[in-house]
Amino acid sequence: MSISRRKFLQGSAIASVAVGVSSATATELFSPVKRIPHASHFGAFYADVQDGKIVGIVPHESDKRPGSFTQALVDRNYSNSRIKYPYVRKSYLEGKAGNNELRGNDEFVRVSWDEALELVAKEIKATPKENIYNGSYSGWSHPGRLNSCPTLGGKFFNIVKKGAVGTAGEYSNGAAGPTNPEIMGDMEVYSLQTSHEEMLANTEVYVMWGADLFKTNKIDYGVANRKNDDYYVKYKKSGMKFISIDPIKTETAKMFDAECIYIRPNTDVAFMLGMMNYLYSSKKYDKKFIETHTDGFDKFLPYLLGKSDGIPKTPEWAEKITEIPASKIRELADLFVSKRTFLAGNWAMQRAQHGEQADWGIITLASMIGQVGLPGGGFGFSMHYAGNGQAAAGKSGPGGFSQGRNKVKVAIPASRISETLLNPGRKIDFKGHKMTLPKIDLMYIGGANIVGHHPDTNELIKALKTLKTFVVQEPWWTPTAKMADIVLPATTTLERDDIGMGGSYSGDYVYAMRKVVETPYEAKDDYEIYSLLAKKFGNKKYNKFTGKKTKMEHLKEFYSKSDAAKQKNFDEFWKDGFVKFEIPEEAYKFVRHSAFRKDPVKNPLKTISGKIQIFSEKFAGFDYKDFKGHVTWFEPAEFLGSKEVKDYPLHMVSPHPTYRIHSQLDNTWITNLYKVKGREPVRINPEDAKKFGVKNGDLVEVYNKRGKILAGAVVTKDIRPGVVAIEEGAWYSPENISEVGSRCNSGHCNILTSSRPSSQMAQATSANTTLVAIKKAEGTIGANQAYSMPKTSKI
Amino acid sequence: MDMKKLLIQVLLLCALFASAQAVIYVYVEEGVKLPLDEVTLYGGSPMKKVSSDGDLSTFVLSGYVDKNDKSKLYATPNLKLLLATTKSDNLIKISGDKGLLKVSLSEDNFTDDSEEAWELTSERFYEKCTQCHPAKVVEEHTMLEWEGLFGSMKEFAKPTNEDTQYILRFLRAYAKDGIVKEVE
Repeated sequence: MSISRRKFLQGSAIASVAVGVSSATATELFSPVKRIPHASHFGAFYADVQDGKIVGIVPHESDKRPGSFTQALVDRNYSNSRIKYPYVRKSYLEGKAGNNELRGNDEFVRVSWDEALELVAKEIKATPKENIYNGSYSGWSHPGRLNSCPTLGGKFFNIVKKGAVGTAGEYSNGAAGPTNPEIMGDMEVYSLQTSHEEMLANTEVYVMWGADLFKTNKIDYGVANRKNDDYYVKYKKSGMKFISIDPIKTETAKMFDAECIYIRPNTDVAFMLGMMNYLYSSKKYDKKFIETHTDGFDKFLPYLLGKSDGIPKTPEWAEKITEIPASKIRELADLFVSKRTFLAGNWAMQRAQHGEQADWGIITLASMIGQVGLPGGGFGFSMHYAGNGQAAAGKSGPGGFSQGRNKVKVAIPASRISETLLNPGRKIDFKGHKMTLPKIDLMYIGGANIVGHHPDTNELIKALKTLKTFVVQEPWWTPTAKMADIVLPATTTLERDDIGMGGSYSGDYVYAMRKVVETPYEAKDDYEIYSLLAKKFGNKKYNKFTGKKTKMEHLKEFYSKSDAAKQKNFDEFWKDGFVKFEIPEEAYKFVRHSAFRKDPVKNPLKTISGKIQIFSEKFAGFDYKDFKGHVTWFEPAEFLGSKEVKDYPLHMVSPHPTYRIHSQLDNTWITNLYKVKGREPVRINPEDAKKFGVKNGDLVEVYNKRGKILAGAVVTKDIRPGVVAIEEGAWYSPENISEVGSRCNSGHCNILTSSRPSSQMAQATSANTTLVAIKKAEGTIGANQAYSMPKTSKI
Repeated sequence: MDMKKLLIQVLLLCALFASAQAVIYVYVEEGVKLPLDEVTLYGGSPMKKVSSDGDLSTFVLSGYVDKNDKSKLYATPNLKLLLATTKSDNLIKISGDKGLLKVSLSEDNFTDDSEEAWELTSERFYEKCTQCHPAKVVEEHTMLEWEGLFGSMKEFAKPTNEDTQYILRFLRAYAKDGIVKEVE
């Protein structure tokens, strides 16, 4: 879209104020600036493009608090870490025996696209579908419907091979995901929450149980709008009491002047049980709600009172585990039942050993408090996510590709990838059944960074070396791409056309994600890469994959399926860059679970009893040692109360990053805002810093039996003694590439996390169950090479 | 009659019998329902052919009924997957909690291919529900569980009311306690 100079200068002036973009120069007289709409998980914006280069970013009207994220997208586009050409790992290409051992420590050879695709197709053809792992996981790389790697990967394998092994569950909510539907008839972790309007009008006590609302709502699984920030100003002025139960004093806790309960990590369930025991013993719980809206309380009670195991779960019992005084446990329980109280759970708590218990505990406690379904009361597990709490437009979004049927019914639980690669044929428990881990020979990952998000990186690297072929499709030399055999360079979101929607819950905008600039390299769109690969399997497969349509025809079709098409035709939409939906008045009055509360018979939950399952016969029937029929306290293998603290005295938590989406943007200037000497910060309490001889700004080694990393010390009272925090997502970079288990020079926390499953039931990640030790880093330390290219050559 | 002729006749009779007993499915070209004069049939509903008369064939659908509403025939005892609805209460022959419904259909409205009968609903499911993640194995969950899981994720998929009808019908049919098993 061309714009007049006058309009551009107006826009630039606004942008300069909003996000610090410099205004246009006289060069615009000779080379006009084009303003092109685009959208991302970090927000929607217009890119000002001059002579084929991005010269500015202007936030879209839907971005209520533009920040540095979208600016950093430009830096990422021109990053030195871009994969410019297709590459094949040298010894793999030469077919040398044992070449897989060199994975991650080998030179890459530049090849033509045709050579690369031919090689990939040959390996896929030669490998049975039951031995191929389609590892393209989730859709965080960008919000576009056309170039979505998880969708395209699934569609591709389902067409050319009739399927491949996939992923069961997820990293984000792997433990709650299979648990909550049995308890609440809903996963709860992704569901629409009570509107902010209802919360502001009714909530008296807002408990942030590990939920860092301000930080995590900056981004969105769709297109972020940061509209929640407007509400947070209102929350602050509302007079509501905020309580933060968290080992960290979060930005949100500070913003709301919250009372901070610095709990020992992984002990929240004991804390909840202590409150429940007190509420029952003092007869302060809501007996009527328990009778009318829940099922199985009588089977839970013997455990709560210690009649079944001899251990009454009293506040004193909980104090010993949580280090929260019994008097405080009683005080909080009294407060919660006397005021309209909302328990805002989070996801980090269930990313721990026995993480299945976390949400179940909150649900059971909330049931005893008896405010579930009341405006501003009860519980919620995604107030921290994707702008939840915003009223929903209720409109249909753009269509997208169908992956179709996958004839391979085996899917690896998300946290079990390393275990699978290292132990094919092993039988494990999973959701009440036995499953056999498949033998994987070929792994294909597009738009995902498994070396970033999978726990215990050293174990994963060992596991990846068992593969015969590892294909990675990526715009950047991520740690995962560096481990690959065949690397296919993908365009960035700014280099291709697509269509998206946001926010995830408000659903009030459809966005044209128009190509901003041409790729300066040999990168191809993800859709095109999969299409060309499909062509290697014959024209019939190619036609099935493409539907004989061009990319623009697909986009038009996707758009036509949206309610947006009723407001603007595609050409207008594409020119304007967006369609906005009005939000109906009644949406601002939404209260989660209100219909169930009003009449649980007419509006039953989708559970076996139609009520909240405080006890589940199904779960009890699994007969697992680490997962029972009701919420249960299990001592984690690693926590501040375990024997291991002798060697590893600090509990490491790895929360969602403040300035990234997982590992995204770690290769941009935005890291200058927070890295310490170029390494990921580790937050440590002054008491611990003193104890371990660490000063603010020091480079430190954080280590345990699984590995060691370098990090930059941030000494702060904002974290509880005994706990350190390293945000997840720093790019892994071994100091000595040829040494097994080499120290990571970048501060990648998953070197230290355990791949131990949450339980036999969910087999989810337990990354937040990690003990570490810390010491000041000594000796000569080389530069962090996380963002540099591997050695490459051309044939 | 020689043995060879006898064998052929026996085989023909067997084939005829087998054909009469083979499961046929209601085929709907658009939407999930097929409205007829007195009856509305639901796409993919299994039935058995009892006779043919020119362009029309007669079929019987057997299923379950709600004691409080005798106008609806369901595929399973949990009364979650509709086979047919009728305009009057006496069209479904009821015995206990079970019911039989006789219908006549033209060949445009039935198929012997289960996958074809459920194609529209399955396509809608895969289109709306595999944009962010791969599809779960449908037969791993019961109808009730699917209702909960679909409810959990619909804020992201943003389905229309029509999408919801298609998707829930597909999920219920292919669920652990459903009526269709995926063909390998």
